[in-house]
Amino acid sequence: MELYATGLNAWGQLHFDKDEQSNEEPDDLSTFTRVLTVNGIEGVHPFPSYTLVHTKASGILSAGLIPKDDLPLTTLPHPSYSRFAQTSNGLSIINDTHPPLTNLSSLLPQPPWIPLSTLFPPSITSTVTQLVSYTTGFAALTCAPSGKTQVYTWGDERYAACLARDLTSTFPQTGFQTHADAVKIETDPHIPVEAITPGIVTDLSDLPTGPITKLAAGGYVLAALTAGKDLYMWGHPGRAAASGLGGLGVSDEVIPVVIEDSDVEDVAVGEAHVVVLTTSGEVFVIGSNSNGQLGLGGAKSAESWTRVAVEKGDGEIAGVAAGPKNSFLLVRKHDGQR
Amino acid sequence: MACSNEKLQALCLSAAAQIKSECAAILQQDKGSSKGTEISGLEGCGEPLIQLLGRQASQLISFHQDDSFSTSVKIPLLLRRLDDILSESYSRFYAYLFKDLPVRWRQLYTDASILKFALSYLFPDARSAALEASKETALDDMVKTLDLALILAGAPGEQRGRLWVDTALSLLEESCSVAESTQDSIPPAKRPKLSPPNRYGKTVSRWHTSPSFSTHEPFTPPINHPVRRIAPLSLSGFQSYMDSFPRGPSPVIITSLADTWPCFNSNPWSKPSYLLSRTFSGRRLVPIELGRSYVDTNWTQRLLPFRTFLHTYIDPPSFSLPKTKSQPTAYLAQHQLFTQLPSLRNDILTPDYCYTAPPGHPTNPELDQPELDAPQLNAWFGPAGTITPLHTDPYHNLLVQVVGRKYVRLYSPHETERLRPRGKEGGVEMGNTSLFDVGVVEGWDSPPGGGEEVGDGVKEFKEVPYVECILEEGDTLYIPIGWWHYVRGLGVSFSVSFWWN
Repeated sequence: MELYATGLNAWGQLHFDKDEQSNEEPDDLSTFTRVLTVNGIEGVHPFPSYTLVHTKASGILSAGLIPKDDLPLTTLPHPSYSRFAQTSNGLSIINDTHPPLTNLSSLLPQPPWIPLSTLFPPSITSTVTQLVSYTTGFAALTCAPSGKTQVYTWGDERYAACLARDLTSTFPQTGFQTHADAVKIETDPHIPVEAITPGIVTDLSDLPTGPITKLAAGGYVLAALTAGKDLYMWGHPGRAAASGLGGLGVSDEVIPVVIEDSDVEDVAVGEAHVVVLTTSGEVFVIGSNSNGQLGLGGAKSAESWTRVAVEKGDGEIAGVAAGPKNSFLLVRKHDGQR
Repeated sequence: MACSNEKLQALCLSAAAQIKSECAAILQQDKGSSKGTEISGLEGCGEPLIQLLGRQASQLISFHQDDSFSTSVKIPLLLRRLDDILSESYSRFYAYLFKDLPVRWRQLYTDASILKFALSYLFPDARSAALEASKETALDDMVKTLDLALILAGAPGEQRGRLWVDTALSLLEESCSVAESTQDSIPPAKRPKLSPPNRYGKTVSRWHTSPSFSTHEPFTPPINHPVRRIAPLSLSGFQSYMDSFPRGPSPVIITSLADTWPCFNSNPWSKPSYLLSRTFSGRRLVPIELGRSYVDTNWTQRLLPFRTFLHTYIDPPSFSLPKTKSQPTAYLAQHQLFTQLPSLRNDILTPDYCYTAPPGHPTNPELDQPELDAPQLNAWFGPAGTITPLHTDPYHNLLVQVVGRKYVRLYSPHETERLRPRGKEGGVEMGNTSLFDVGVVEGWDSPPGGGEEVGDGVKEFKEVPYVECILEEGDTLYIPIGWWHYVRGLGVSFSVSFWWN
């Protein structure tokens, strides 16, 4: 398989070839470029200053600068990366109900990681399959044994549009800690517990194309993908527009996103850009291109969904990923190689 | 002239060297497990950003030592990396409530701004080429870079911070020899580069002959319940005045308390040319509120060069034109202008009254704030028709009218409930602002949305007792803590408020 990447490379997080490292300041990539060829890529996990690639045969490959504080996070198996998340205002949450994360929170440095179990009753915590963060809050996907999914959101009330729900619809309190208790938010009696306690996004509870299979979030924008390959998005319109994502048209209301009538295979959300892979294998991007994260060459930004031509040979794009200011494509080769 | 150039070069290089060594020390400390004493306010920004900032500082220094073509091609990337750091730190300004924003993010923004300024100053050609900008806009951009650090980030930092920024800006102004001139209509680039900047005192006569702001007032409200006007009291007299009311002091106008200040005399704020001369020929950036009132939906804030603000919104005055949607009212409001522009600070004095011991909040002691170290100064400068909606502040206030006139209406804190304080709006506490719009209720203004929306309870609101005044040049209005006030600029108006407790 091959990994293609574009965008921010300030810490060399797109340079997997260690031999090529030099003292030169690493520049960004402005078009999708092959950065890695390796068999059996399971997942790509971009962090602000480094990238982790999980492979079946070669273990975990990394590029960029891994801060010392993050080291305990870099040896986890692939599924763990949907079980912790951090916001830009210092909140960190970890779903420690599954090994190997059970004991991890004690290994992790400041800021203190809040166990997800302090926010949800045990019956719900055990059904959380994905946890994502945007700049000032979180979203969690739960999947009941019946297959029914729910999306919970919680976060800073100033950007309540990112919660996409009526703040009175908060999960009923049944003796477990509130988020406010958990993070010991200092005494602002004006912060309503409703915003910072998980609540269900009812608009995503019963969609025509089935349950939610994936959440993605970044900046002030969130996305959900259904089993029937429909994409839904929401977010804070003012912050989205200020960052260059005004063309997306998000608001506090969950809306279906239609891109040239295509079904959506995968979605990734950066700090100010979104990457979508359609079922027909095309890549569409929108938002800020400040660091080349859209792969559109010199363009400053894309106000509307724009198709990116990827020089990828005979492969087939299998998935997308996004760091705050960069983008990744996973390409499966046709020659039988996996 | 060469002297200020050399000084500024040295200042830039020493800042880069400091940043480089602070970043190296933080990274070194991170490698060891023990946390020692704080090395720099930048600590805690995380290894990646510290490393990135340190690398840029280090490159800047090496480029300066080897100023060849091979380095000049690397400058655009260095500039982009500094912008990356600025955008990363600036995004935290939104992620946190400002009161919870860790200072390190503001310092990171400031230090990246300092390096960006240094880069522009030390390599003017490379940078202009990168941005395809002329020398003149490059100068504007350099001033803007540092003003953003002052206004957005507050320029913290023990080693550099505000002191560095202030020094760099005054050296830059000297080295550009932008002569302070009464002829503000002539672009600075065309001025003869001869005279060094003048200092006030020598130049009284020249301001005397330059034009003043228009005194036109499109609308003047009637005064039915005037605020008492008194002659200046002694310090103890003012203390006794404040202590003489069992239910908290009443507002009062003190006449001719301030009229010996330089801003009324040798350094006249009533002259556009004087204000331009104190703002780097109008290049300095100021935060401007655009829109009728901060409670309206289309109200926004922008940072504009002072000269743009002046020439677009204040002078020439817009009184001859009907107010159109395309030209919203612009107001430099509640800005700590005198911290940003120390040279204007010298034109005013802090009234002695700010050193009295005023009583606490008359109805709600919870609103009393921790004691301020020093009175907090704000500037209020705008054209006719600026409105500050009916609101209350948690400090005692001396509002000094320097240019033009303002209408002020005041309601007692004991009437708070009848003024219908707002609740929380969009996650922002608005409880210090009334739901009522005095101008609309009185029929002076049309409702912001158009139409007839006057709202419930207007009849009851009209029954609430109040006092009002037209504040004249040189007047000082004492607004006791908790008093609700509505303020309206009648013509071009410049006021200074002093908050204290």
